[in-house]
Amino acid sequence: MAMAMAMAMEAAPAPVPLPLVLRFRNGEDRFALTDQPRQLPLGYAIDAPSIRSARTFGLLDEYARVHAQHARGGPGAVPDIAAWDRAFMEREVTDTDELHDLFMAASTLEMDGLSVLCAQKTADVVKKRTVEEVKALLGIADVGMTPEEELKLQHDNDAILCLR
Amino acid sequence: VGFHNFMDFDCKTARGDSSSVNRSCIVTEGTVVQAKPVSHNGKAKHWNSLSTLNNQKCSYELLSDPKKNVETSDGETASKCDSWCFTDLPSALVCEVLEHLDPKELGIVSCVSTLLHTLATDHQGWKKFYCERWGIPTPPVTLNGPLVPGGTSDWKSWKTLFVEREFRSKSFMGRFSVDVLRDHSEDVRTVFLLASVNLIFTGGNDSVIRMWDLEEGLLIDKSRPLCCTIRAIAADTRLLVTAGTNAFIHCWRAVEGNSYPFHISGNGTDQSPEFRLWGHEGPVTCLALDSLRIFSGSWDMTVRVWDRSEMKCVQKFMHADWVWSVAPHGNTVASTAGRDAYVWDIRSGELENVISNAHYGNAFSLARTHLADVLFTGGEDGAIRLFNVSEVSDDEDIKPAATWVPHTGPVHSLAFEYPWLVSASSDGRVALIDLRKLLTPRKSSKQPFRVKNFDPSSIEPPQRMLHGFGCDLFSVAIGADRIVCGGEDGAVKVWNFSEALEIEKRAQALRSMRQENRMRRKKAQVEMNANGRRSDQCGSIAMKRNQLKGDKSVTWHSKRAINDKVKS
Repeated sequence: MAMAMAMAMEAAPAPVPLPLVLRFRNGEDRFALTDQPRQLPLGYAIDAPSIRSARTFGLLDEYARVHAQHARGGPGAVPDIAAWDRAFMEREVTDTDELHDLFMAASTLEMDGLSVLCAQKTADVVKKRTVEEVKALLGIADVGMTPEEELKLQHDNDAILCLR
Repeated sequence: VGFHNFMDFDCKTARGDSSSVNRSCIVTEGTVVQAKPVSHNGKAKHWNSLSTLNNQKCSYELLSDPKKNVETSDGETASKCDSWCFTDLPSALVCEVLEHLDPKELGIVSCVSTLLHTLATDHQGWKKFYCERWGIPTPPVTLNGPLVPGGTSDWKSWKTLFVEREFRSKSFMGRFSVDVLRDHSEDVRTVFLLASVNLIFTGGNDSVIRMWDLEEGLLIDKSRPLCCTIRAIAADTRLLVTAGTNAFIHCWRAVEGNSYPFHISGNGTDQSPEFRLWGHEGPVTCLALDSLRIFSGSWDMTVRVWDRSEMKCVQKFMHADWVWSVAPHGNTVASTAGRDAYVWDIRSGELENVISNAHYGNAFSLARTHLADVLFTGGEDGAIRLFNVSEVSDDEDIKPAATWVPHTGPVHSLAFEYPWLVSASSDGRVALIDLRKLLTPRKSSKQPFRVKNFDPSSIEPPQRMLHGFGCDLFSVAIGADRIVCGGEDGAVKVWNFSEALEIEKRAQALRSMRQENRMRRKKAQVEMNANGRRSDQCGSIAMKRNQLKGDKSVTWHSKRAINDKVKS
């Protein structure tokens, strides 16, 4: 994937530059020129509605650039890409809204490395939490069952909930 | 680049998925004329069909403050029209997240909503959890058939198997009774527990193999004298192998049609299922079986591998000292000789790892788990050590990841059944060590499990000691809610923990009933307070949370009741 990104970036220039408007789901716009590949993540135009906001776009862009640079090597590349990944997720993904949007966008664009990072981050949110805390964190208000059914479900899972 | 499927879970169509599209916030055509972007993959279009807005009451806060979230969500009345729920994610992504969770976390997630419950009970994950701990279930469990349409019975089976087995593994901290089986006239040097058919095999200085019924504690059969001390026994449902000081391996094939698979009291005619394997040049001290091979270790400083279909030696591993123990797993076999431990690759015949000076004195015993990189050794110094023998440590001196010193005499035998490591010693005692916290399978890391980084010289207490009758113990086995050991006094002791299971089942039923009544009363109280202030609701939620935490503790009855039932 990283090599494909690097090659795509080098091959990106279009014959005629066109102004392109990326309109995100929340209404934000971003202007880019197709003859300047550095303005576009992955080096080609993307389907903007799959990205919810300019902030998410910026995160995808940063991730793609750093990984493409690391794949090329050279003086500007980060020495430890795994450590950079961890720092990136810790620094940039600070709320579940952003985590959700980034996860969806990374998966849609088939950025597998970033998708795995988001899955792990989501799993880490769930670890060592109670049921109520997990509901609040994941923003789940409609559990899809009545309180009696919910009680029965917890009862059925008693043996697992008691695991150390 | 195709999408690489990291998931082991089968992704099912989530019933909670909504295909309705609310386009009120999507820019309609004509508002802005823009060049059509080239979509690099088709998933974006599929994504558009998902629900974009919902009026569910949602609340997002900082990830680091979940308790504040709980209070805030309770006070939240207006829904944020631009917020998301994680259940909006496609099932494939939710399954990818669940892949990173362990059994307890899956249990919690499955209580959150019906959608997550459906995904979290996917049976492939539970099968993996089971097999990582206890291996493939033995034949009496009639499972592993093709998936039933709908998959209901299959996923219940694997999850139920896991829950039941986890429940049973706790019984070793509970009440037990002790049976003493007497028929040996001299030391019992080795015991073997074949749990799948409820048999115990024992051998010792009197050179006679004895076969006992596990449930009744009765002697079923005994061999004629084999003219040497019996030092090792191994068996499965098709083959029984024994060996001792006279260098040969004496074997019996299972016989169909009888109430017991083995008939060991024959007279040794050519028509009997009995036969011998020759090749070792010194006393054979240890035996092990897998489905294809027999492994034997000897004081002639070799471990030999015998092919079970041809019954001939196909491999020989040379050691620098007397071999004390042998333990195969997958394509490797571990052995101890002198004070060192070794791991060999069976196919290539090459030595994969050497653990030099595993103990001060001889390394007498060995045990492995279903996680291939874990090795336990017991030694003459009374210590038990855990080694991580992954490939990474080839060029380095391997240090123990954990050490226990529960004994004041040599550790002659180790046995393992998740999460319990059991040891028997010349100090006349059996130690039970709970390895649950050490052997925590983690899928997210490169290694299949995580061994906590301990100070190599750290000493941890065992969870339980079972006291014998003051004599040397030479061999121990664990299985079927029982621990079996044999020793110097010629007695075979069986600690039976199945009573603890019955007691705990009754206690659990009572606890569940009380909890259900308590939550019903809380619910009624919440309804009564529906007209009251919000602070009351916050309080009731806090009480619920405390309740859940309180219910997590499990107390087992640990009163000891020793019943000396002498059976002959």
